[in-house]
Amino acid sequence: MTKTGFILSLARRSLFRRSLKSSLVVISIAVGTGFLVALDIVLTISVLLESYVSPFLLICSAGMLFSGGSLIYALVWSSVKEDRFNIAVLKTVGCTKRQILSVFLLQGLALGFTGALVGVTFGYNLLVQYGAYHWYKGFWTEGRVYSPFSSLIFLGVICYALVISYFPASVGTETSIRDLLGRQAPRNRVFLKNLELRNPLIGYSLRHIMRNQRDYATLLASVALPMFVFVFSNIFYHSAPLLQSLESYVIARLALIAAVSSGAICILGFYSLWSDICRKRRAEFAVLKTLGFSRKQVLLSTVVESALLLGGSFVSAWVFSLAAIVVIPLPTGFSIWVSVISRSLMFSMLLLLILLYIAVSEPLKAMQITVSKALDRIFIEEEW
Amino acid sequence: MIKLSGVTRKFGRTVALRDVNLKVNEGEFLAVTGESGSGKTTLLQIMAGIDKPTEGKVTVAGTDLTDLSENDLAVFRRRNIGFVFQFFHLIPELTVVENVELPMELVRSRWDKTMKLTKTISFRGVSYRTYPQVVELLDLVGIKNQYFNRLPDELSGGEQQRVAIARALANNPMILLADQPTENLDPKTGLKIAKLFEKVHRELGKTLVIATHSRDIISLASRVVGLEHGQLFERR
Repeated sequence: MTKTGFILSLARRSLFRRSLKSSLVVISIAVGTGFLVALDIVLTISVLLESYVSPFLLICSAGMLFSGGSLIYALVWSSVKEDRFNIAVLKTVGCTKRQILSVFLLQGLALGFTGALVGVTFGYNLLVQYGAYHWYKGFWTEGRVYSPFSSLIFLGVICYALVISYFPASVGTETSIRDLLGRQAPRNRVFLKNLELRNPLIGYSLRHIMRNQRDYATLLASVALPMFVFVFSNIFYHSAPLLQSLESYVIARLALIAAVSSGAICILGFYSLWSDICRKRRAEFAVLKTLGFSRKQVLLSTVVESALLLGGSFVSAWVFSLAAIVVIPLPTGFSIWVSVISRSLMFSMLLLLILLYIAVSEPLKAMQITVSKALDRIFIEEEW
Repeated sequence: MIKLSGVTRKFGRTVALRDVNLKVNEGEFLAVTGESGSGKTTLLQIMAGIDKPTEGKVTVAGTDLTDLSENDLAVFRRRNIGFVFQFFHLIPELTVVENVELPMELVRSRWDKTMKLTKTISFRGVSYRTYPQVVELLDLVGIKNQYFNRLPDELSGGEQQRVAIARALANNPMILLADQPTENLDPKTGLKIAKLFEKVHRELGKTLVIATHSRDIISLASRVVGLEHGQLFERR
């Protein structure tokens, strides 16, 4: 096999092994790009829609693109961690840093390309499908939908995916062979200065978060960003019927697409990242049990971690959505606002409940295997 | 101290332990030998209350383990049993000191006056207060002061195993169980760890049960039993 062929096959295998994460990245990037293209169309035929439509499209597309970015980061980072033995082997046989880097950049490129391609097509169809283009300068026309910057958006999204995947990939290439072959994955050596929290559950979970910052930061971003888009588009969806404008139909459809896709990405993204974390901690759970932690205590310490993450993302999603709504001049009264906010709150609570269910069920699943099996070296290494 | 009567453990069709009767007296140093897959690990895990026998009765430190719930077993382990693994299994996110502190925190009550944060250790410009008991234990197992605030993967295998022994001794348990503690180390380090176990046995008067192939440990033990296909026999 040629060198290029080898690099290509490594990248492809790595992507297909994490098919759930890869497809989430593609969906997230595609929706983000689609909304950006739709925004471009709206701006080109400027009188088409009311003034709050373009900020809505901009915020949703930014949210989805950033959450796609954090998922790319998570995906490349987990592939660096799990393929560290492969990286070490490649280094030992004399691959240059650039060649190893290209294995990971290719993954970013493939995801960015697919997402952008689907996204641009989707963006063109977004407004066409819902009849927006009929409403042009106050007349029903058959005017063409046209996005002058779509090719630029296409290229920009691909570059964005490449840049994001560069950061975790560079950690892999910069780590020495000795460290790569070590028993532990590369981890942040950050110490909590004078953390006097000695509670075995909370102190332990906090240390766990602080010393695995990269894992938990990507987890937080991949939950908080889609959750923000979910809350934001929910508010729009519920206020659309009250707008009493001809575009409310379009707004409702756009908001529905944003809400459904961001909700799905939030749930599935959290599921895939959190189950990764829990699966890798099986041996640790077994050790804690041997030290005399009861099942409930082990579960509680992980729930503390996830509750911090989920609570933080829920609160920040609401704060940012409300701030964004205040900035955009939506024409509604106070009583209407109360009903809109309460309905959106209900839906976001539902989302939070599903996330909490995952937060509890995954560590429980990880604790189901017996202590002796969890501590079996061969079993642990197979899991890597 | 430990009494197993008629203990049988089956995993599906395979029988890991077959009608094992064993009595370990207080302060005894028992070595359990046998080929891989002969049931050594299962025997130790049953003694520690991690695993339950299919048939038979296990009494450890006057407590019948067979009737205890999983929760009660966990509480029992905290105070009465220290366990040392073949692959050390220190918590990778916690520093050496925090690893030893963790089991102490589990049993410490808020009003315990004997546990006071009087020792300060500093490393790379970070200072951390800990209990004098932790420092005493780490001194006992021979960990140098400059390693106190490091993460486990910065230590060598022998040092990690020393920390693991200190962690097992954290709550001053009467019984120390070790599952092939030197098998993952080079012979020279293995000998040092074997001598450390002997020191723990001699100075602290712990009851020690070690599953091992190591000649060093076997020669230091006061009694040796063997396991073959799940059946126990006295060797020395």
